[in-house]
Amino acid sequence: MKHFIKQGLLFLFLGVLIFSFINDRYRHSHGFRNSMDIEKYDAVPDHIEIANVGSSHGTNSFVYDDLPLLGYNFAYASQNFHYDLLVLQQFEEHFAPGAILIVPVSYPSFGTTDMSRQDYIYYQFLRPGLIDHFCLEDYLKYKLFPVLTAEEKLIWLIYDEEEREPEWDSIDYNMHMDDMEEVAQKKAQDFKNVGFGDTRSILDLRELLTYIDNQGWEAMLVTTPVTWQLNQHFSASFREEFETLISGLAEEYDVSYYDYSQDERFETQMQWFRNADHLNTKGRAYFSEIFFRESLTCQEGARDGR
Amino acid sequence: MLFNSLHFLLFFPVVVVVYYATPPSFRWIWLLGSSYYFYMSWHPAYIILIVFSTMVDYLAGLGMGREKEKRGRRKYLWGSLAVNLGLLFLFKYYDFFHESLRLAASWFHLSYSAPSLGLLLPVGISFYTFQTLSYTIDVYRGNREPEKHLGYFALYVSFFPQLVAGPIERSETLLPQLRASHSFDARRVSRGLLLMTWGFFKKVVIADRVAQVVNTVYGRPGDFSGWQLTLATILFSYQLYCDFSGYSDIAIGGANVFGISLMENFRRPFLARSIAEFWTRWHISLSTWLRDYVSVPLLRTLRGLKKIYRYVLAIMLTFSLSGLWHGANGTFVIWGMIQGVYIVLGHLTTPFRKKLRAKCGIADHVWYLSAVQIVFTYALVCVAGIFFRAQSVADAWLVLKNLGTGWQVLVQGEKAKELLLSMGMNEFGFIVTMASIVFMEVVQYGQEKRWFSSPWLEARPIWFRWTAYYLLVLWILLFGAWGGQNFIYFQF
Repeated sequence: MKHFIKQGLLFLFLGVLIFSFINDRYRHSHGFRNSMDIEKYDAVPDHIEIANVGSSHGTNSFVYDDLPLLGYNFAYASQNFHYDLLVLQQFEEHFAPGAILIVPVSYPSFGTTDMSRQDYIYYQFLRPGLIDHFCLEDYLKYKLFPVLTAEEKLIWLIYDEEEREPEWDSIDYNMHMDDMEEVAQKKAQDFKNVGFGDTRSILDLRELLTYIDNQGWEAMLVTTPVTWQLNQHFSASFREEFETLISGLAEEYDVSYYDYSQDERFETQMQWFRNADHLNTKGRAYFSEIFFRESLTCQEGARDGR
Repeated sequence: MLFNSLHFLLFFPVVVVVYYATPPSFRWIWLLGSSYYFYMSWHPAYIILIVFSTMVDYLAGLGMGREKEKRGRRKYLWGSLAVNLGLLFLFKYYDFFHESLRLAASWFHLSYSAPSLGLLLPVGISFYTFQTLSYTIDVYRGNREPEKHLGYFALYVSFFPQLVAGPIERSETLLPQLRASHSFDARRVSRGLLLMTWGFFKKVVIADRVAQVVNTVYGRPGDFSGWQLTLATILFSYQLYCDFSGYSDIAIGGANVFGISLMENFRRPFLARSIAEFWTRWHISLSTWLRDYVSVPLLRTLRGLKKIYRYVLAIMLTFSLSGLWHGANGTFVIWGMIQGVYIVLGHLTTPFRKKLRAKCGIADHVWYLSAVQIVFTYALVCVAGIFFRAQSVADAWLVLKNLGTGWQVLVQGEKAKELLLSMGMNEFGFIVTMASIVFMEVVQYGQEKRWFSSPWLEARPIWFRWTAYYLLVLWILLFGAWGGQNFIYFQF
């Protein structure tokens, strides 16, 4: 029995060693880190003065490089208001007092309550206590031993990708006009199917605004630019309903609301977009410049007024 | 607690270590407690059912033990049958029969208003019910003495490795082993662990991966053409086999670690040369149970009939019951009946086929005849499998009807590839799955031909063995589908 236990322990030890080596190699591959935007949350700076949350509309709309304030983009593809809140809670220590929080609001923001498909991403950077329905098995699978769920990405163990900037900061691409039409139509249909009147989302947004207020931060609601190809699929009454909802919330929580969805500096200017509702790198820089100039001036004016 | 869960990964080593650290006479207490904990991890309340079943059969056994005459023992047998089958009916079949009656009543414009119960099916109820029934029937027949120790009997009913999906053990083989003192046997333990690992490979790497395709296609069969339905049906045969035999391997391997031998449940069934042979290789514990407690008694009961009618009736009834045992659904009953028809036809055509072979000068065991028989048997298994997997009889007919459609697309390489990838699995998934199936088949063929086995592996140098073990474990870890999917047979 002693011999068996000794051999068994040695076997286990070597096995753990081999597996750890493979897992570690995978975790540190550029491919894995690029795909998860790990860098983004590894190096969140301290004393953030302005930041945004949100989904891909957030990732693709705000850059803080030319701002005299320390800014940070916390948005993540398809991230809903609830996860916006969790991300802020995770990194709340990194904010300066009175920081400004930009909350992008668009039609799809109110439809993405089901995050089950990408819940696992948040295991990478949220602490366990913040994760909805935290499950130890998922924590092991996604956080500690991601190689278990690598699938075809196992190739990175042999051929690693090049190190690259996170996706949200590197895309410089213009969609062909014909494709733009098609994509716009499809997206508009998706948005309409989802609708923006989802009660759960509105409650989540309310919770987020309350949290921001309780932290002593200032919130700004923004509807980021989209193309006319997308806008044409929404009726005036649909847009009005949306506008009324957001303006109502802005008033209730005493926050500013900026709507660029039909701004003529963007709506018909295809050079700023990579697809129907996402800005490209140049568009992002241009929008950020305009938005920060206009909003921060207003914000200061409002502060002075108070 | 699924075998393929972290919970089990922690549970099993603890149970093993404490088991061997406990004096042999007390081990049953530890195993019984562990088995009840294992069962309660699904739905704590259902432990009452298993305890109740245990008590009923224990007392029925003792009662029968006091009776010298068979007639005296009969009332205990009926009591046990009524309670066990009654519970099974209530939890598993009541809603099915209720729904069937409601349908029949609506056809005849009759009013029928009994409520449906909507009870949650207790995991493994069909398995432990059949296991306890075999004990009661054996005691009734005088084939064994009743078990006087309630603890050992309770452990016989609930022994956790085989509790929820078999193998359905007989009391004469399992009870004496539960009573015996098992000293630690390193070779036995390592063989058990290896068999468990092989079971995990089948379940996590093959069955759970294949499930992605099967679920997609059978979820909306109308959206797929003939070759896709055929591929999904073939893959389903592997899913079912790897899921269930994988479970059995883990159960048998796990029991081995405790020094207990469970019966073989699968013996490379896809190498069967006829459906009758298939049933001596597939779910052996159920088919032998049905043979001993249903077919043989039926053949005796129907003694007055002509031999051929007796045979046909006994086979058809046994396999219909087998279908019904699998699930309270028309699809399972039809599946069982198809198996019965296959066997009856096989039996009836045997003289003709023998004559034909003799006329053509083909010997019984030439390789090409075996190959044709194996392929033909496998095709028959797959066709019946359509009813096993389809969500309804209508879906099964739809699959059968569409099997011949859309094959021409296979000559258009790119289009075929696009359609293949629309079946719920990506290219990587297909490559891994196919490679794993080929690997499993090679190993199994080698086992069938006795080229390799556990003793063969044990005779290899340590570097060879350990490399093989590590490669198998790494294959499971890296290529397994870690979604924690249930075992198919848990629903039965």
